[in-house]
Amino acid sequence: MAAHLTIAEAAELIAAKKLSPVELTQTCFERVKALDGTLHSFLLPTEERAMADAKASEARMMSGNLKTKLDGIPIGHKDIYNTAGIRTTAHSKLLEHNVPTEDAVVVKKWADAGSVMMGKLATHEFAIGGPSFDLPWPPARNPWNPDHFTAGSSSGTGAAVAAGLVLGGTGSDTGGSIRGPSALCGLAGIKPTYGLSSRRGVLPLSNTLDHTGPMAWTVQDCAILLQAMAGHDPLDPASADRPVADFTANIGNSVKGLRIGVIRHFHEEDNPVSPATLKGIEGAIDFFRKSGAEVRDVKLSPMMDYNAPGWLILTAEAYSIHEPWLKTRFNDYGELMRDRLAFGAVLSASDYVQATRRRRALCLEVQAAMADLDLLITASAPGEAPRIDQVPKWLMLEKPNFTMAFNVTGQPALSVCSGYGEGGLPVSIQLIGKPFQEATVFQAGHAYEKAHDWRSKRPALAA
Amino acid sequence: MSKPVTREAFGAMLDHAGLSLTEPQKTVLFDVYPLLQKMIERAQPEQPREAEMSVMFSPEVK
Repeated sequence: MAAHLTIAEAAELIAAKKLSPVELTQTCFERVKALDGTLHSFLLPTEERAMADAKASEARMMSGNLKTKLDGIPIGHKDIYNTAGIRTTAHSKLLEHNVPTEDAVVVKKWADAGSVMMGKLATHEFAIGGPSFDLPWPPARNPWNPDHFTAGSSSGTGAAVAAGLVLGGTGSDTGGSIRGPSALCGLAGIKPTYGLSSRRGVLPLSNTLDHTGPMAWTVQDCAILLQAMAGHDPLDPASADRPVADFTANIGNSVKGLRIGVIRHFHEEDNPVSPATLKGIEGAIDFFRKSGAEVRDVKLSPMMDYNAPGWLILTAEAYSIHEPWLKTRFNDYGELMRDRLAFGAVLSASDYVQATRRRRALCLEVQAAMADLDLLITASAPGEAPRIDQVPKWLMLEKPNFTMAFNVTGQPALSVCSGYGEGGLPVSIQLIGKPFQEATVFQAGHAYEKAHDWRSKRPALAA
Repeated sequence: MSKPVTREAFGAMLDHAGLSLTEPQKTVLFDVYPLLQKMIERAQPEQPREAEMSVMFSPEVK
């Protein structure tokens, strides 16, 4: 089925004139119409725009002038990415009628690469409040079982990619919002190094923790998507002014000689994972060892030590962004969003500064731990997706998550599917690299993914 | 260990910040506030103040 092609496969077929971008786009829209009444992954399908994009791509294909591997590929954008002339809501009543006049930098880059924009995808409200049932639109549902949670906040992208409604999409990640839904929806998703891809035109949550990044069915597809979104943006103060690496350069290379550290206490003691998740991690360790990598355990501070400054910084920075609305339109936010952010009102300036000092110490700790390592490995999520009506409101304060640590340090971190649990839903591993070493992360993730058959299985609903 | 905050003092902090919450809304937050206080304590840096010149952030930490 065309909608279940990977981006790499579709790009090859389009380049060979064996796949029509128009027909591929039509197929994806047929699937949106058939499935999204259940999944709620789209807030706004943009069929007219998509067909125009697809026809332009097809003309380039026929004339031999394809722009990039993304030319003719149907993608979607999380609805915190501004899209010129197209409603951008952050899934919130506060921006219900907001129509930006400019594209976010990443939106423009993907459009310039020839992609087909299928529409705007569901998110947790302003990338933190969810899953919520008191917003103008319902929350996205997990295609592996619609009674279950997608994780968030890039919930719509997770659901739409897993169901084959789009071949890839944008996410944003402040405490795990790319890797969480990638894990629970069975995708690959990377939070790149802080500053690698622009945040300009993306509604902010936390200035020093926000990252933009891609989500797709495979690791290789993430590399292709990231290639088209990375690069220096002089108008994003956090943007890194350095050459962009070739993220697909190491795809297909052996992992022999790579040095990998297992943060075992994260997933065995600090937040013990499910048996299926543990099996996936141990299986990955075994695969890397047998493939010639050097693997050893590594000890860091307890995972909660990373989560604490992360959540305090996030809460303080997000509160500062939303303060005017919190003061005047508190009840126009959903309950989860407003309650989580209201804590920013009772944090002191010293609490914030001390958290940033602790953050620096933790960055140094990981840097030292990785002095003779190329990668770290742990879980992306503790287990399979819970039911959507059983997600604790204050989970982030009660238990450390596996993703925040690498928002705190700013390192690249990739979630990769590592099989399926007892409930038939996906489980995952997380691979973490040194800053700006995405190519190594993709190398290892792709090698692992190709050695297993997890990618041959799609959600039954979407098969 | 930080000093426990009373329900009244917590409500006053929210009022002082300029938020107009109902009393039940304040109570919901107050009930969870101890978890936030634990995070604040956990996030205290271990190194002395003189160990650093200023707070800077870079993913390529120096």
